[in-house]
Amino acid sequence: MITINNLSFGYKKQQYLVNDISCSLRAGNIVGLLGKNGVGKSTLLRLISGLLNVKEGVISVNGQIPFKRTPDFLSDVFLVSDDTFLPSIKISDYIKVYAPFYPSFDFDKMNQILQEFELPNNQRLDKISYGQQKKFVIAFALSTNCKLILLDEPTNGLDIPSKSVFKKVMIRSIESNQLVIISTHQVKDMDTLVDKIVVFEDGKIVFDKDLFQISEQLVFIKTQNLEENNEVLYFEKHLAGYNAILKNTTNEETTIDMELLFNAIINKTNFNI
Amino acid sequence: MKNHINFKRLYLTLKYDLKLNFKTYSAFVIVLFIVLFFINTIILIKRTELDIKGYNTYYFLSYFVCGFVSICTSFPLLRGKSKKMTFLMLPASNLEKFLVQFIIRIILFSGVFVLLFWLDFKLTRAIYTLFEEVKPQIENFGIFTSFHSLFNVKFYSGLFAFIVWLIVFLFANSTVFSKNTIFKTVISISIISICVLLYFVFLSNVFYHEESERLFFISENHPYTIEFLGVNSTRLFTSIFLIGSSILMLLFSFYKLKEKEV
Repeated sequence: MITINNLSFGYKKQQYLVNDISCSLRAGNIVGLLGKNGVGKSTLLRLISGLLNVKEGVISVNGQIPFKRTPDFLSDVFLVSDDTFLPSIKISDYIKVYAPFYPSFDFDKMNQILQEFELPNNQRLDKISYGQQKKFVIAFALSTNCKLILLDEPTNGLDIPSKSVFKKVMIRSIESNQLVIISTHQVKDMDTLVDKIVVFEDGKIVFDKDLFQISEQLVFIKTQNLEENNEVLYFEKHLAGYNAILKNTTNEETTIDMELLFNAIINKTNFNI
Repeated sequence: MKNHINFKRLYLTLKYDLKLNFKTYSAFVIVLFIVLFFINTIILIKRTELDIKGYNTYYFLSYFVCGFVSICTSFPLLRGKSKKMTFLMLPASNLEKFLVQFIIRIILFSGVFVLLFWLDFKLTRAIYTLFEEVKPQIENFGIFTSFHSLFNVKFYSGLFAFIVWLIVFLFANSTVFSKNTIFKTVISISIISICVLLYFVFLSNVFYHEESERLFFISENHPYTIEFLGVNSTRLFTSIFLIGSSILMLLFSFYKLKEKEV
């Protein structure tokens, strides 16, 4: 689906924000692109969607060069940016004029997601709150059934109930021929949602693993005493004890603590997985 | 070819633009109607007679000023980061996006202008003759009156070429400048005018350096006719130059649109 080879990009000359990265992403995954603020996650999404041109290297999405922005490419890619422009028209009118550009657009799915997000069709897009606008754009993106959906900070502005609806809707909507990349610094929101994690740090991909691989090799525990655990790779102290990541020596399967894992990665913990 | 132009997509893009900017376009038409009404009122107050020549002068002057605003504000979705993203991600080709702006900002605008100016003039004339004791001597101009005189203008006179050049220049500016387009266009037109003026001064110094009273390169004083075409050479070459540079500018603005990044 996406092949990136030796990609470099920077807004200023000689100062690369994305520096010589290579990776490959397949359809059927929901990928969490994690990283601190300003590390270049949004830039990477814009490069993949064709809004920016690469300085060095190659990006290929379904065999196409994104920056050519051909109509065929654009009708199969949807980017939800953190700052989406929505015109001052009704939701139903927007769907009427914008949906025909996407050949696989599913109107029933759109109505269903709008209902779940409690957004009436007759609302004007410029009159609803930022969070509601975000929910609308997410609903639209999922209804396009594009092969590639890029979500940049999708949970920004969503309230807690909406975040859980978002997760539910996402998991239900994505088909095996689609690839979703969610870029966020709100790592906790990605729990139970993504099935692959890519961590971006200092312009490089520092971690790129499937959740299956992670849970096979690592154990996430809450403990009061660390001394009894010899295989501790990373830990964080909290009021009631410790949250720790251990090497999985017993083939035990634990729920992945995304925030702990992310902190461990950016603190340069060597997992050897 | 399918990737460049598809009539269904072109129609969808046109519909999308008209729906999104419906309020702006409606407001523009209303403002245009009011402005033209005032222009026509001033014309009728100032003149007791108005022949076709006078009418045409006001007609084309108003068309130029209003057209300037319409074309300079083309590609409204290129102003602002989030709008630009939406515009660039719209699943239509660059050519289709380009054509849609051309259709709305030039063809549709011209149609609306022709109708509004004629309606406004009729309305102003009716109101004016109703209240004024001295009836003004004003011909009853038709909706396409001004076009008859335009069709009589020959291509090599340079007028057509200049109009095409100006439209393309304004259009190109709207793709290059994303902020304060009208202001920047006025500046760039001023710079080009000064350059052309200086170029003529240079030519007059080269060719007529012995004639101190002549500042400019005025072709009428040294006419040269191309025999087999029977046309004035300077005017013909000026037309060719203007059309040629229009084509280059059109390609340039298309390239700028294609290479836009956010």
